[in-house]
This record gives sequence, structure tokens and C-alpha cells, in this order.
Amino acid sequence: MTSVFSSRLPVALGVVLVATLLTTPAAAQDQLRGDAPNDWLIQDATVLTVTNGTLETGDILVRDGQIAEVGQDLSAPSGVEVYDASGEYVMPGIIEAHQHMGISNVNEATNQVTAEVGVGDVLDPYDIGIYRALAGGVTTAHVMHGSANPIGGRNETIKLRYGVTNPDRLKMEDAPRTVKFALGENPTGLYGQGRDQVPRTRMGVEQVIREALTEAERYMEKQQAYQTGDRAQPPEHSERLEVLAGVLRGDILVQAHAYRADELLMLMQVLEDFGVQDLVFHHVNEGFKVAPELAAFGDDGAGASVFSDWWSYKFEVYYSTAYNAAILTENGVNASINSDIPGEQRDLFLQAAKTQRYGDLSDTQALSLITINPAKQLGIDDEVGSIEEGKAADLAIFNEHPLSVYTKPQRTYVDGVVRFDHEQDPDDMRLRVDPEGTVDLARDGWSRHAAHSCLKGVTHLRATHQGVTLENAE
Amino acid sequence: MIASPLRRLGLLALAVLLAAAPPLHAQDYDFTIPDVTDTYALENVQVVQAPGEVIDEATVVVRDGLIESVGPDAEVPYDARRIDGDSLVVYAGFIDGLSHAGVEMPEDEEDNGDEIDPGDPPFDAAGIQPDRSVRSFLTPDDSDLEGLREVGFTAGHVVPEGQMLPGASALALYGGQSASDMVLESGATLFAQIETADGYVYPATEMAVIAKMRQLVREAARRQELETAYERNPTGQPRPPQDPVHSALFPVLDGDTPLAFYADGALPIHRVLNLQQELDFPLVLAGLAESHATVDALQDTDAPLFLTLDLPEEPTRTAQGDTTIADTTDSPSRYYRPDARTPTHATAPDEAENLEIRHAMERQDYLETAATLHEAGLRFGFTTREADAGDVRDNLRTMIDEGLPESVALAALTTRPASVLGLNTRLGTVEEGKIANLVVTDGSYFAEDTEVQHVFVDGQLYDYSGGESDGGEVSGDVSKVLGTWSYTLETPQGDRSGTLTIEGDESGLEGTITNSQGTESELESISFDGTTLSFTVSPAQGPSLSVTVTVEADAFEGSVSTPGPSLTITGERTSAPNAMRK
Repeated sequence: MTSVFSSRLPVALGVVLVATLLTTPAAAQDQLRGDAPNDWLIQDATVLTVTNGTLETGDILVRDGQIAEVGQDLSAPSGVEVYDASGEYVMPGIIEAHQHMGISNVNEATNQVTAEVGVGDVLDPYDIGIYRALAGGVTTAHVMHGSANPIGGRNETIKLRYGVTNPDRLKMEDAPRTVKFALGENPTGLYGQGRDQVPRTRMGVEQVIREALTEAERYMEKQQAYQTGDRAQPPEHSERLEVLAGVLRGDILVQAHAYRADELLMLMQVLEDFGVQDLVFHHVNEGFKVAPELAAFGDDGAGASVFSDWWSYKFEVYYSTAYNAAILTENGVNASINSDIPGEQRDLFLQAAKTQRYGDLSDTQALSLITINPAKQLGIDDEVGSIEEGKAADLAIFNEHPLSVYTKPQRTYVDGVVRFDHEQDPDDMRLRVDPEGTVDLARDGWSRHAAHSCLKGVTHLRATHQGVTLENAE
Repeated sequence: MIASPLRRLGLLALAVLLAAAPPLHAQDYDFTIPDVTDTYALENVQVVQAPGEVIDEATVVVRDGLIESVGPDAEVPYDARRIDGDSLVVYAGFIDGLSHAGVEMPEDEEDNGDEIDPGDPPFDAAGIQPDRSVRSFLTPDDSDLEGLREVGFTAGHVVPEGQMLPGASALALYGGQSASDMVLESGATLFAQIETADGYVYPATEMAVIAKMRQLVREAARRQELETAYERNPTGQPRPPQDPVHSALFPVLDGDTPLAFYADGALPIHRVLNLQQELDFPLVLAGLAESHATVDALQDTDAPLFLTLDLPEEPTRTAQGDTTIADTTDSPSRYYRPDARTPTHATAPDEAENLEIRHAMERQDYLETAATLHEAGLRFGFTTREADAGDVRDNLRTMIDEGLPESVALAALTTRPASVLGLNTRLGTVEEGKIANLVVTDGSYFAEDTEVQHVFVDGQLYDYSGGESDGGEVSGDVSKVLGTWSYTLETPQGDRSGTLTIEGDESGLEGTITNSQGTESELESISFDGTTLSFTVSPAQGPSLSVTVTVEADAFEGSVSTPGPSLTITGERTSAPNAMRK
């Protein structure tokens, strides 16, 4: 014990001195960016507004974290820093509609319905994945509960303010609440095959969802009856049913993991029966088969957030096409492209570009897939998703057109603050390290295995002669 | 949890010894002075009554478990055992802000075959047991108590072990003969943690624990309302639903009983604070290992805080080469370069070195946590829950070296916890009328070479003045004990005999004990004052045993204290040394 102590002390002393020296070097990067300015004039860029065309040699004036003016030959008011973006391209910060980074938990995979839990309660602002997303021009992410349960937990829409350490500061304040639903093999594998519980089939998934929403209806009726005096006591409080009641009231948007055309139609039918209008499907590999039906759902259609060209990782995604996003778009479905897996969030601009090869979408259509479209799907398009005056100054600057394979992200602004700068991108951007842990070298690299997948902590896929199963990892 | 096997081991060891006889004897923690007197006078001691309030020379009289008087002129009662306190310092006994000391949880019941629905387990399987009380799990035999007492802790806020809501706490003395002796107050708080259930059942994630907390608190609020209405007018009303779990939360809703959360990490700290803001319950927050990163958030709460006495240790490096990561000269040759880049694998060693320094810097933040909280104006006590008792004093010294003022450290050990736990009329200072919980040292508690000499808990003396080495206190005519003795130990299984050999002089005694089967053990901490001989023996297994006998002519008689009843031991000298040392 004493030896530990005595070995610690000289180190500590040394470090004190080190720390004092450290404050002076100009190179020292302020990772927390506590005092970083949020007033900027970005000059002479090609401005890809997404909603209002392209502005050559355009300027963007950022005041107090918001886009104050977009135009040409703007001048910088005093105290406003200038960034010379000549030759560079500015697009709206990329919006990732489906991710699992920046959260401590993904799945509460113990119960078929866990609407009461929320990843917003377990945000992890220290996750380096947030910085990696920034390095790919991403400024907003919809971080989601996993897909283990037919009705999972609430998701959270976060701004990638990497550097803040209070988890609440990641939250996008006015974003509507959303909840995860999941159809198909994940829940049937976990509950049916894994535990011999409902649901074992897609029919079972429908049953679980209908039962849960019916229960929520009754819960609301009881609350109503209590308020009108028809009932002596309020019903037993239920965090779970409160959330589902929010879904029925339209306060909480349904974001459903689904692949197959039949289950897409099923869920639309179910939600129609319950009068729910807001629905975004995620993955949707067979969305191209039912694009008109998706577009016709509810008042505004069902959204679809898809992968560019990822499939065949399990049985239900064998029937897929890289033209999916383009077909959906051409059929009037509000489509977006997401990355889902932490580590894959860095090149969404390239994923979007694939729709030009597979579907010949225009630049604006392709960029919309990762900006204004996901913003609409998350109900935040009045604040982000395009370069417009009054919106948040969430901007991604590239050296080439962002849909070019040669492009490299240069700078990423979130609320007017530079959160990624290619010129200042040292190896060690971690906000903290485990004081008792070992040193991880940057070149040790990232392991897909270690990352959060949408089934993290619960299951892994296993192919046997009997088919593909999901197993408890623990 | 480890206490009960340890205790069994101790009894086992004793049985082995008794069977074969070395008469030995229970150690300090069962040292039962009350046979003789329960009045003590610490004479000519320096008394630190409270941080910054020092009487340079005074006498402290302890009687009937209370501090009877403190002062230069305090009268020493006729029946007092006098402890000469020249160069001794008396502090108020330390108060532990949160721990499991003295708590032995029942063994988990074996799987009773009942199928549990993982999605909807019964309350106990989910770790929701606020209706339990730690009171039923207290025992003065828990070995953690001994370790904590030795470094000065005399009372604490003890909580049951478990998951999210393990049960009600108690304010307990860290000593006594029975659980009842220990309890100052039951149910002071309900212990809580963002801790998932055992096994893969709901809540299996922190987010579900948080959701479940909301569910429990809000449903308890509904039930409480129904119950109040029903009490006013039960006629014609359906009986309100009732269960002990929700009912246990009523005092929390009333603001009378805080939820005492343990949270070390920055994220759990934020999560607890958010939950508290949302549900508005009285909060006690312990742990706080990473609170240097949450100072702003903590400033918005008025919850009592208890900082862990654990500090991170430097990890053992497996890498070879130079791991001296920071030099201690005035101008370090290397420092952390936050802008470092590693373009090729050839420069990876530079990166490793750089990151080692980063790790060292990060550890530094933890060493400075106490100072950081203090500088931010946050007041706190300490918790030993995650700390090894043996590290406590080193860690306190580190915190002080890193900027925590000594007086604040002392307050955090005494007056601060006394006041936030509502014990300040009874504990926390050395004043007349307070419970006689005292720490007596031979110098400033925070100095490295200071030893704790005595600890009083509830007026009962735990004597560490024998020291841990063979340096027992020796005075008087040692020739009375030198030589070889035969002894007889009276045990329930019959008498056992063996031999005892003592050598040495006034500067120190050493000796061995040989049981009837010829097994020899060293005597430790041999003390002799001319009449009373005491020593301890540490068997290979189990706790050490201590023996105290009175020597008269060539005979002795005394007792061996054991975890069970004390045993009588008698002896006769069979040979005196050849050369009589004086």
C-alpha cells in the first residue's frame, strides 16, 4: 500500500508542474471549447443551401450560433471571426437519423414493451464517436434505443456539441420526443427463438404492439374518467403507458425498425387503426416495393431512413437494392440515409453520393437525404437541415463538393462553434481517460465488434443449419 | 458479505488452536474492558475539540459511554483508568458518511425453482427492497469495523447491500457487543443506486433503473394520496392499494427521509442529480469519485455530499521500457502534447509516452478532487464504502498534499457528517455530554509517522498502543516474566496445556508459545507493566487472539478473549533464565 502511495506521489508532483506549463503553449487545444466563439463570417464558399439552391462565392454570417445572413460580399461586424472558405463547399450539418453512439445503454431487452425507458437518460458526452461523427460533417444525431423489443425505449435527438460534459447539454432542446418500435427478426429471434415467449413470428410482433397500444387507450380512458369524476381513483401510474399515450396523442413520433414490405404494411395498418399519423421506418430494405403505400400513409406519408447499399447481414435483408433511396425519393417518400453503427457515422456524405450512381438523384436530392429529409423525419426541420437565415449555424465545410469521392471534411460548426477542424485534429481527442486503465494507442484502431450495434448487450446473430438465430450475449 | 465466512474461519482457527492448545486469545476487537472499569481519564492530552478549536493540555474524562468532562481542570474520578497522555492528541471519533461496515447480508437464497419473468420480476429480484432495513443485518463482528476503527472511524451511516433500492440505512456506532448497541438511529435514509438488477432481469440497464425510479416514486405519490383520502373518510370508498415497497417511499415523498444515492462516476452523478430535480426528493449523495468533473452541477444542489476515500491507483504497465512518465524537476523535459499526431508506426512509442502523461494528468484530477470541491465552496464528508481501510490515511494525506486544508479534512471526518446526519448533538466534537467516540493519536492525525493509539467507541476503549510490530510497551521488573512457563487453558472441551517462553529486557520482550502437540507460534505485541502481561498470537488462519494475564510470584492468571466467551488461562513458571537480566 505504501509502495503504491510513494510511487504515486512523485508522479503527481511532476504532473502538477506539467499542468502549469501546459496552459501556455499555443498549440494546446481546448477540447471543451468552453470559450469558443459562435460568431463567424464564412467567406467565399460554394454554399449548398439544399433548400434554396447553390450560391457561388457566397458568405454566411453567423451570429450567436445562428445563421444571420446568407449572401455575397457580406462584411464581418467587429468581433466576428472570419473563415476564408474560398474554393471550399459549405453544406448544412449532416443529420444522422439513426445512431447508437453517445449513450451508455442501447437495449433494455428484458421485456417486449419498454416504452418507459429512454436513452436520453443515459447520454454519454464522453463518447469519442461523437467527435468522429463531427469529423464526417455530422452535427445532429438521433440516438436510438436498440431493436430488441417490439416497442423499445425513447430515443434522443442530440446536437454533437463534443466537448460539453454535462449530458443534458447534448440534447436538442426543442426536438420532439420519439420512441423506437422494432419489427421482424430481432424481436422474434430474441423473444420467440431465444426465450420461447411472444413474439415468435411477425404476427406476434403485431399482436404485442396492438395489445400495448390498446392498453394505452384504456389507460387514457381511465385518466379521462377520473378527471370527469366518473371514476373515484386515478389509474395506477404507468411510465410505460404514459409514453404510449403520448404516441396515441401524436406527441411522440414512432420510429420503427423494419425491413420487409409485409411488415411495413402491417405497422401502417396498425397505426392507422389507432389514429397515429407520425411514422418513420428505419432500414426499410424492401421499402422500394411499397413506396407508393409509404407515401400515402397518414397526412404526410411515412418516412423511410435507409442504408445506402448494406444488406445480406441477415435473412430478412437478402431482398435489397442500392436503388432503394432513389426509388423511395422518386415516389414521393421522404427518405434519408443513416449509418446506425457507431464508426460508420463518418462518411454519410459518401453514402448519399451512392444514390447518384444508383438512381441518378440530383445533387440537391442526394444531399437532402442526409440533411433536410432526416430533419423532417425528426420534426426538427424548422431549426436545422438547410442553410437558411434563422436556422442554427450547423455547417459542414468540405474541400471538394461533398458528393465527390475526393472530398474531405474541413470544418464542422455546431451552433456556430467549431467542433471539428481538420487543421487541428490531433490523435488524442478523448475528453477523459480511465485513470486506472491502460493506454490505448490511436493506431490500435476501432473495432466493429466493440462498438454499439442496435443489438448491443443482448444478442448476437448466429447462423446454424436451422436458420439464423439471435442469442443472448451474456 | 465476507464477514460471515471470515468469522467462521476465525472460530475454526480458534478451535484448531484450542484442540492443540496454544492458549490464545482474542484480539483487540473483543477486548472487554468493562470487567474492570468503564471510566477513563486521558490526562495531559492535547484536545482538538473541533477543527481549529484546540486545548493544548487538558484531561478528558470518559464515563458511562459519555464524555464527562474536558478541560485543564477536569477532575479525574477515583475509579478511572488513567491514560497518561503526554504527547497524545485527542480528536472526536470520525463519522463515515456511507458504508457497509458492520453489515452482513444474508446469503442469497438458492434458486427456489420459481420461474421469474425477466421482463417483470418481483420486487426483490429487481433489487427494489426499500421496505428492508439494514438494522436486521448489523453485527459488531463484521471485520470491516475493526479496520475502520483502527484508522479512527467510530460511527457511520451504514446501508444495506443490494441494487437499486437496497433498504433503509441506520446511523450506527462502529463498535459494541450487539447490533442493538450499535444503533443510534434506524431508517435515517433509504439507500439508492443506479444499479441494475442481478441477472438478466428488468431493470437490466441504467435507463431502466431510472425509469423504474420514476415509476415507483410517482405511483407511491398516487397511493399516498389515496390513502390520505381514505383515512379521512373510508366509508363507501374502495380500499387503496397497499404494499410495503410503495409505503416505504411515503417518508421520501414527505421530504422526511432522503434517498441516499451512491454514485462515483461523472455520468451517474449527473443522472442522480437529474432524477432528483425531476422527482424532487431529499437527496444525500455519496461516492463522487469523479465529482471534479461535475462541480457546476453539484453547486445547484443542497444535498449533503460524501466523498469517497478511495483514490485511483496507477495501473500496472505491461509495456516494457521507460515508464517514468513525468519527471519531478522544475523544468520537466516532457509534458503532454495535446496536439500530438502519430503519422507512422515508427512514432508510436512517442504517442505511448504522450498518452502515459495524459493518464497521469487524469489521475491527478482525482487526487485533487477533494481540493477542487473545497475550492468550489462545496462542503462534504467522507465515505469509506469503496476504500480499503488501510489506504484511508494515505489517501487523506494525498488529498491534503493536493490542496485540501487539514482543518477541512478534519471537519469532513467529524463535524460535517455529524451535522448533516443530524448527529451533532451527540457526536462530532470533543465536548462534555457527547458520546465518548474519540480518536487518540501520538501526533497530528494527518502526519505520516503518527500512529493511532486508542479509539473509543461509545466509551469503550480499543487499544492500539501495542503497535502492530513486536513493540509492545514494557515497563517494570521484567524478570518477573522471563523464562519458561507451563500454562493451562480452560475450554469447554476440557483443559489444554502447553508451554510459553519469554525472553528480552525492558526495551522489548519476545517469546513463543508451544501447544501440547508441539506447534510453536511467535508472540506479538508483548506488553508488560510489572504485573499485567499481554500479547497476541496470530495463527496461520483466522484472526489473531490476545491474552491478558496478571503475574504474581511465579504464577499467572488471566483470560484469552475469543470471538465467543473469554477463556481462563493459568500458568506457572517452570524455569527462570540462566542469566537474570534485570
